[in-house]
Amino acid sequence: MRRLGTLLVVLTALLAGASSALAHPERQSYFPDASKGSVPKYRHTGAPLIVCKSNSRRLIRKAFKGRRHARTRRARLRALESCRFRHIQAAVNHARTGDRIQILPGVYREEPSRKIPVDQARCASMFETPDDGDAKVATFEHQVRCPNSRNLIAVIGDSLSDPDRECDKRCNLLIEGLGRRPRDVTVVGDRRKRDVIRADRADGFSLRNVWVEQGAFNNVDVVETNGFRLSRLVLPYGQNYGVLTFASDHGLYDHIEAYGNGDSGIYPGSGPEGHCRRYGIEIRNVNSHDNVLGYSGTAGNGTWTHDSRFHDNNAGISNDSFASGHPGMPQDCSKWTGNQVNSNNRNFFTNDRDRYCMNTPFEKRRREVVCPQFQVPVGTGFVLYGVNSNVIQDNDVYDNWRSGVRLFWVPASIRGDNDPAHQFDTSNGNRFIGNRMGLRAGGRPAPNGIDFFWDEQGVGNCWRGNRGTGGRITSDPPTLPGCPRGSLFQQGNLAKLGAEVPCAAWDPDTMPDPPGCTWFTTPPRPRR
Amino acid sequence: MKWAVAATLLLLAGVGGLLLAGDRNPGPRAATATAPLQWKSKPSLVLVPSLPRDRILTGSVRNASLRAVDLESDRVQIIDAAGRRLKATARFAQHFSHGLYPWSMHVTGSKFERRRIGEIATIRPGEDVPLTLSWRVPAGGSEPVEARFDGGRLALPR
Repeated sequence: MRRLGTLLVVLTALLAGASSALAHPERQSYFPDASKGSVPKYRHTGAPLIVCKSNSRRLIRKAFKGRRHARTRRARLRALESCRFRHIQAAVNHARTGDRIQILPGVYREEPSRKIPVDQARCASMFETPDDGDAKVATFEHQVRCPNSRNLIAVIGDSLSDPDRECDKRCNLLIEGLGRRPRDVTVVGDRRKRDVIRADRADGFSLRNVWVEQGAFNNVDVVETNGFRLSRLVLPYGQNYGVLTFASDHGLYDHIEAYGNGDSGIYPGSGPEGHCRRYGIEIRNVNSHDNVLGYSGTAGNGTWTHDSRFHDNNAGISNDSFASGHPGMPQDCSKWTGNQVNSNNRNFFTNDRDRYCMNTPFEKRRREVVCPQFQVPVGTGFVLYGVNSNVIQDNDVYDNWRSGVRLFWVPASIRGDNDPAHQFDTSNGNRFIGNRMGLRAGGRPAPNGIDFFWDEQGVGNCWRGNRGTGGRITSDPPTLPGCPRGSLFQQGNLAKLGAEVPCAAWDPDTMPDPPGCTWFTTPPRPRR
Repeated sequence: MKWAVAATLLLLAGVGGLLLAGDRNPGPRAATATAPLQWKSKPSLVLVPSLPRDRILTGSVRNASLRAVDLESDRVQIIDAAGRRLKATARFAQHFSHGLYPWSMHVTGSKFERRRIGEIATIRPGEDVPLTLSWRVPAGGSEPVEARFDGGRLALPR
């Protein structure tokens, strides 16, 4: 009987393993306990751990010169007297829960971390192979035992002593630049390690007033963290993301500028599963520009983005349900209000750039050259593919030469769910209310190619009170269902769906210009 | 002793039966001329005004054979009447998607990953899968006449 029981346990474990799916270049991740945690407050108290460089004194005087800054200058020079660390990671290693790490002006390259090889031999066995992919991903044990193998600066909060996935040490840590502007404290990635700064199960993590650049994947990466505050950051030139938060909750993005990133400036992916009862991550005062995407979020659930700008990217804001294995699929329940989403017509999908990107690995590329990591429809404001119950309200969406908003269905099979009953469970219940389309602030016309482009699939999608050039919006289909009732179910328009399929074949090496795909040609400026 | 002989004979018969059953129900194989593919119904041709030489054809393809077939989008060829291969794409899907890995990671993807984004498909006998093809007719060239799948063929409507 005991043998039978053991056999059943083994079989159950095998089946559970087979049904789980993960292929994001992140380990299999889980949401933190939503009943705990909160956005950490900015703290002024507590003895800080001070980090400085040999030239910090000169840089303090330069950053805070003049009578206007005399008081702060004196405070910074006093702080310099207490400096004990030359590298941020060294201070993190000395930090305890609730500590503040204060970084004086300087350029931080973290030389000791750089010396640690990306493929550290002693952690070579600490990778997991996802069921649905063959790119091995580092386990949490890897992050604990070899924290600087893949991260220039690692804040690892959980220990291996218990299985609770909650922070045990270095929780509520504040890392703060003491410059006048973020630029005064610059952290430079080595273009080999995936993350420049990684907070992993580091509940209550705060990062403030720093400039972080050149991550081989992310400049800032916050994973499985309950409570985080990212404020006054500048995040340029990551190979993929300026900042990525994943399976994290109770978070705030505030005053962040992100540009030059090969996927998106900000990525609140696998967001909180509030299912429209709450917004677990607030994003405000973000300026994301000149990336491939200003914002993206696969399973970008439960976020509220407001008073931000997404402009001059290849496309502005993307939310989708494309991936398999991301927690929280399919995407639902995010809200965008009072944002400017405009002029997303930059085009990084050019032949010469494709060639350069293919032939030059990231570590050897020129810092400012952005290489697209995924394909996007150039000239689009919102790219909403397979999303549910989102609110897009009171935004200014203008001068996007292809379309202001694209709303498309994605079948459940794309996320590995082949249940016939689930195939139409995306692109439902989205509301577009009171947006100003094709109008700059002040009402000057700056038309989108078309304001709303919808594949006509989905239940309960509705439009109300959107205003366009001359008072009227443009759309395909020409008539959009009103709120609150919204659309009734119908199959998607095959011509619209089919026209996008060839774009899936894009590859800068083998298929830079797929037949039938218009996405990579900048649309002409619309005239009206 | 008689029992031993009988048991051996029964065992051999069982193994033989299993082998025969296996022969009648083989696993999937690549499409061949004896495993024809057919459009389930007339596919839709999508024309792109800004790309006048490009065509997109989307529909469902049915396996009219008695064997399951494995198909791979990379191996699909679009051929014109003169036997020339046109620049083309194929996906076993009727909607856009992309893989999980950026191209820069150089990951081929497992079968699960490739199947879910429509790079590969297995069609069991009598069943169908969505298929979208696109191609570019060269300047002065002619429209294609067929799609080739590892030796199998699918006529393209004119």
